[in-house]
Amino acid sequence: MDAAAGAIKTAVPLLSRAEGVEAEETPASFETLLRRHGAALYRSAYRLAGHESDAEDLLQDTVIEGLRAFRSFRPGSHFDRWMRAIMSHTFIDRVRRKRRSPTTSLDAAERLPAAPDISPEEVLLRSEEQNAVREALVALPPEFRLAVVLVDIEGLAYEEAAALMHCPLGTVRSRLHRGRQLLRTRLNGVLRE
Amino acid sequence: MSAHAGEQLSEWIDGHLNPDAAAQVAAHVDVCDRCRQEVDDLRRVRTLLRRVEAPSLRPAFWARLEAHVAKERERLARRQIWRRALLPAAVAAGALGFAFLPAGKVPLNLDSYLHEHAQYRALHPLTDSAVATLVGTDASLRVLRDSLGRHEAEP
Repeated sequence: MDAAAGAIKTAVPLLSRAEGVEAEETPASFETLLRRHGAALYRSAYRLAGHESDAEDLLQDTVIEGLRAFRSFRPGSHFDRWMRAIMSHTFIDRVRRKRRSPTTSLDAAERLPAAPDISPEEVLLRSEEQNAVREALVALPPEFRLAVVLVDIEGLAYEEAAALMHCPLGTVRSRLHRGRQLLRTRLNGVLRE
Repeated sequence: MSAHAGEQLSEWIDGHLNPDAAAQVAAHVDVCDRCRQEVDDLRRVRTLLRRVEAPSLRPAFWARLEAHVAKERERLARRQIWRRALLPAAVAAGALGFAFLPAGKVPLNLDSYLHEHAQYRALHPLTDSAVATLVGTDASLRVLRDSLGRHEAEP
């Protein structure tokens, strides 16, 4: 989380100025804020991770990092965006860790169920089109996926995405475009229907 | 615009280009089939992405998460208590150690120190700077006195 800490410091002042989102005016406990924003944060985690179990792991890691860093959260700024900055870095960290150790750890092997852990609701959501888009998203390099999810799905401005991703605006621009182009290629079948 | 618009197409469909650049891209897209096709596809990709849905949080997971948060909070609180208790304790221990440091040293045995010092001085008189100065000074005075005495005695 060291990498994330610096990025959060940079991201938060910019995001705090963002309009249209209700800022947390009065000091509230971490748990209260988490209850208020949990569902939306889970949706973001799901879009990044692509699967329920991965989304739950991502949200759990994000929440623990958030709790540890909560002293640096300023009342009056946006908790959901502050947490999203942490989630972005946690997501990239998790993907990099997975890349470094592709073999499943014993701990993970014990936790993973034999069958895919999909809720009935998720089964309903998995229409052919949704499934294709989700799989194409998951197949993107994580940096591209993050740019696409933040801008195209979460609806963030380029500047906000750059602050969350802790990278220059030009990098967001190119990652977003390259991500969209890869999706265009992978979703060729859906696009031509 | 002779080359294809490339990355600018994404910025254009997002409305992020300045008016001049946007007009240039629009003019290019009008005459370039390849870029027009790319614009159509990118717009459709964007629409598909906006439709990506996410299931609701599973209550069982949420309960697990809250329990996890409570456990982590306890752990952080314990660490905080240890820090608060240990830091002053460490400072106090450091201060005490410092205060007792001279008392902890082996007591000086004055007799043996003087004995040893006298022995050393006798063996190496010129290595002791104080003695060397004294000897040197004394010697110079003696030379001067002898010389003066000789001069005084001569006439």
